[in-house]
Amino acid sequence: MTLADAFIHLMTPQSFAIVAAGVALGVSVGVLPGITAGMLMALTLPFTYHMSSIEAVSLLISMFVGGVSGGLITATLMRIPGEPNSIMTCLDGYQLARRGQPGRALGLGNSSSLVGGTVSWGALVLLAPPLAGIAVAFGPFENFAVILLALILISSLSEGSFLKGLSAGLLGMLVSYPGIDESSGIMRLTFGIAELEGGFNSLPVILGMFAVSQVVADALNIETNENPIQATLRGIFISVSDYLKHGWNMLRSSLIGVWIGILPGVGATVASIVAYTTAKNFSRSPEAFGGGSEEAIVAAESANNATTGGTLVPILTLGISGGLTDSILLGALVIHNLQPGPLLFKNNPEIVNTIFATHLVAHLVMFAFMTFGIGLFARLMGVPRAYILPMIIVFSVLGAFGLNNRAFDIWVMLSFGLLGVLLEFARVPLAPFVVGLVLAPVAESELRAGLMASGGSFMPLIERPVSAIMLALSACLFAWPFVRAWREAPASLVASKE
Amino acid sequence: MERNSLARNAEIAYVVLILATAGVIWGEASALPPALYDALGPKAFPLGVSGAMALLGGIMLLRIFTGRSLGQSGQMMMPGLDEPTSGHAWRPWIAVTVLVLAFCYAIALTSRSIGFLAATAAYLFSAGIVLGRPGQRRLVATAVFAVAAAVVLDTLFKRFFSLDLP
Repeated sequence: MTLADAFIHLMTPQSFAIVAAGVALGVSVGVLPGITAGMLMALTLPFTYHMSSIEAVSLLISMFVGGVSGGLITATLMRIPGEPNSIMTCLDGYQLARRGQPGRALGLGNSSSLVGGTVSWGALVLLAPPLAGIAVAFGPFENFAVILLALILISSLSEGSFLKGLSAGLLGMLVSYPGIDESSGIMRLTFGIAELEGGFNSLPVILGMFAVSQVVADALNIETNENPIQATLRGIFISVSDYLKHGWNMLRSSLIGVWIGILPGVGATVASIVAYTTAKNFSRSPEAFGGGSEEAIVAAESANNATTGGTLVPILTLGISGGLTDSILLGALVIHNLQPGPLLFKNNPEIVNTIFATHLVAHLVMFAFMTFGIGLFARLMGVPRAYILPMIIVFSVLGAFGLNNRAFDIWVMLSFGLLGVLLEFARVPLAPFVVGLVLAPVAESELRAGLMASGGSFMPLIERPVSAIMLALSACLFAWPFVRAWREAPASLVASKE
Repeated sequence: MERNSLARNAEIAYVVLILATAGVIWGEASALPPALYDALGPKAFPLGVSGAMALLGGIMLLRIFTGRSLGQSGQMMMPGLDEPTSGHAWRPWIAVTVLVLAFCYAIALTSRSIGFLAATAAYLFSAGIVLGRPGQRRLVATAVFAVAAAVVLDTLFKRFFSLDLP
């Protein structure tokens, strides 16, 4: 089966229905806080036993694409990341919606998602093998340098409150350390609590930090407006001039998403953070970021959808996965007696081409679904908060519990909810905390693996060209906010004198 | 409590939390065995990060006591925490009640004595009443919503997703 055959096959009623159902379910769980696409895919896996491998792969890829995209709706309308990768969309999508332009915010996000997905499809189909080859050629020092680059962005994200942002990032890193130390097998920082031996799962932590704190904040400072924000669909259809205006941002953010998607263990959340920060640093109006910036929405949504194609590259060409959702996809291939990796291209080209074709068709279906169905979701703004807020808690509890069927995760979620409330009151940004939480374990394991290989020498970090470039880039990005502040200072002095 | 003093107290609480966490982690990490297989070992990163956190906490504490600002994130997304905003009502006790109800809901679920259906219906009703406007019609509507939502969720997750609900 060639790629063209795969596209034709997907146009048959049954195959198209599977893709549409997968996207619809994915978007639906993406909208629901705490119910992730990964969880949906895991729950769906047993049902795929009754399907052919091609149908199963189509369904799971469609859910994957729908899940990544659906988070946009909740992030924009409720400031809660339906999926963790929508964190950055919360910042500006919600603000733009609050200013009376929910349709515009959703339209920009949806269009950017389509562009990101399409660019990543191109990368997947045309560049997958060579890109994967480059990424896999990275040693641990290069991987550590890449992660350090992402961690340094914490300071950029917290511009205006450097101390608070950095401390929140470090706090997130500490939260990631309890459990078994993978390098030595030694149990650490468990304080004698048996449930901590597996460490904190990031999903309950993130749910608590964002969902619970949002519910408490809304209850504290609830809207009393008799006429709540009307969810207008005006602006949901993005014009050609909008594509031209945001085209470079879309492309740049998509490429960031593709690249970060390829790197194992980093993922869509970091991609959206990096793209957001990059867009902010290059923006002519960085002060608008956080207050409903269109550039910010475009960057975040292009990047997180672009990771879908990038993520598939190492799975298909090397048989390695970087995160929960990828691992479920990998497991699904194995369950269906398929061998992920280079042999898949040789032995099962029909599966590879089905994955390629489904990835693009699912994005097109997602775009149509979220454009024409988004009006229904937009009406969520009109539903009384007295119904929505408790439901968010219920879904968060279900999401935290459903991950491992552990009551402990419910308490983790609520405890980190309290921490999130404190951070909000103290005006400490939440995003650096999440970056620290997600990246710290990977950074540690990579550096330690590198040091084992180098006999304890740190020199390869600066001797190896890729890691040296990454470190230099980290230094530049770290210094950039200070340089900009220094450059702007004389202008503000002149203005104040006048 | 005035909002500015609330924010300042929250900052102090945050700094105390940072220092306390750094201290606890430092103490626990120090007791870990030394590196066996690599140059860093299991305690290097926790010690390094908690040390850096303690340093930052100390700097923030110093700035607070000398009356200097800690700065404020440009990305705080919650309206009205700094100053009153039009169209918003400041309701601290309702927020506290909502939080308490969430914990009560978690207790009810984890004790596994009440069951998901009853606990969820009771939680949705009580939280809906606390958050909503008073009125008999609202009372009835909230009750109907709570029971219906609990039944739908129970059916959805038990029957369709085969989830072992708490």
